[in-house]
Amino acid sequence: MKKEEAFEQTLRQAILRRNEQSPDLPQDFARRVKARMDSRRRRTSIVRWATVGGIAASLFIGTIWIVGWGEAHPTAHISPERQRMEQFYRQAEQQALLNEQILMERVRLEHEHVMQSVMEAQSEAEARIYTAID
Amino acid sequence: MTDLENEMLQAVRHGKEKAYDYFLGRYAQEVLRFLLQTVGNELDAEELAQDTFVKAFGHIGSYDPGQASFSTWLRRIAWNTAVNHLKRKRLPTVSLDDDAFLHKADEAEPERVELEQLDRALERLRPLERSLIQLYYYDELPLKDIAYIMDSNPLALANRLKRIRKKLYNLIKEERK
Repeated sequence: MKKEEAFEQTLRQAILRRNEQSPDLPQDFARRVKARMDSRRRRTSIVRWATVGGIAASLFIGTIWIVGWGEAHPTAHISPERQRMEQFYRQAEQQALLNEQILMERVRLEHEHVMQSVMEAQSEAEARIYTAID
Repeated sequence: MTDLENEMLQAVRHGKEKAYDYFLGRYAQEVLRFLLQTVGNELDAEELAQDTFVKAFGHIGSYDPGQASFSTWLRRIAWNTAVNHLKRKRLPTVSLDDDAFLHKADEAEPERVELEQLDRALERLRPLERSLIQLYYYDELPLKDIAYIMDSNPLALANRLKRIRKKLYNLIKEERK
């Protein structure tokens, strides 16, 4: 037998002997593994529920915040282009309203002026009539 | 994989406790033995064996019977658990570069050795070198399976085994001096 083979054989024997000397599995090994599995399962369950709870709470708070903020800033969800358009229409509307008010004011002043002229003409006519009578 | 083992795997996936007993009864002793050879400490080996099974049962969904046998998959988990443990404890793991006996390896000649001498030399190997010896000589696993366990390749492992053998010769020679 070659020296290398002899060495390998001795090595196998040595490994075999070391393994034979290794202790048996403790009696409660399975129970301890199962206990750790239970504890891991409980921990996983707690983490899972805590995560679900956290997400739900975040969603709830987020919704409240968005709604509150949305109410405070009603145009926040509208695109800038749309906001510009709306502002343009609002300004145009305000301008039209102002023009209408100015026109109405002019009409009122003209009406007032006409009425005043009529009153004056009427007074003058009445004065002439009275003078003629006298 | 046998039908029974397949059935038990499904049962573990569904969290049935009796299936744990089946796998523990069948593989716990060999996992403990492997870890004991690797870390060399009974208490640590037992703790790590528990860790191995807890991890295996917890990640049973990722086991692919087409890739490796359950026993080999379990040893892979045990190996990773042991490596992490040794790193945490800052104990030396296998390294091809820092082997103190590497430069002497080529000079070594196989000689007639006594069982006791070899046993003492084995004790002086790095923990993870011992586990490679264990997987190859005791469990008689093919290098392909050991490569799967140690996340290496068979050729590199064959070279490493050769170097471990030469390291053992040198350790024995050194002891004789």
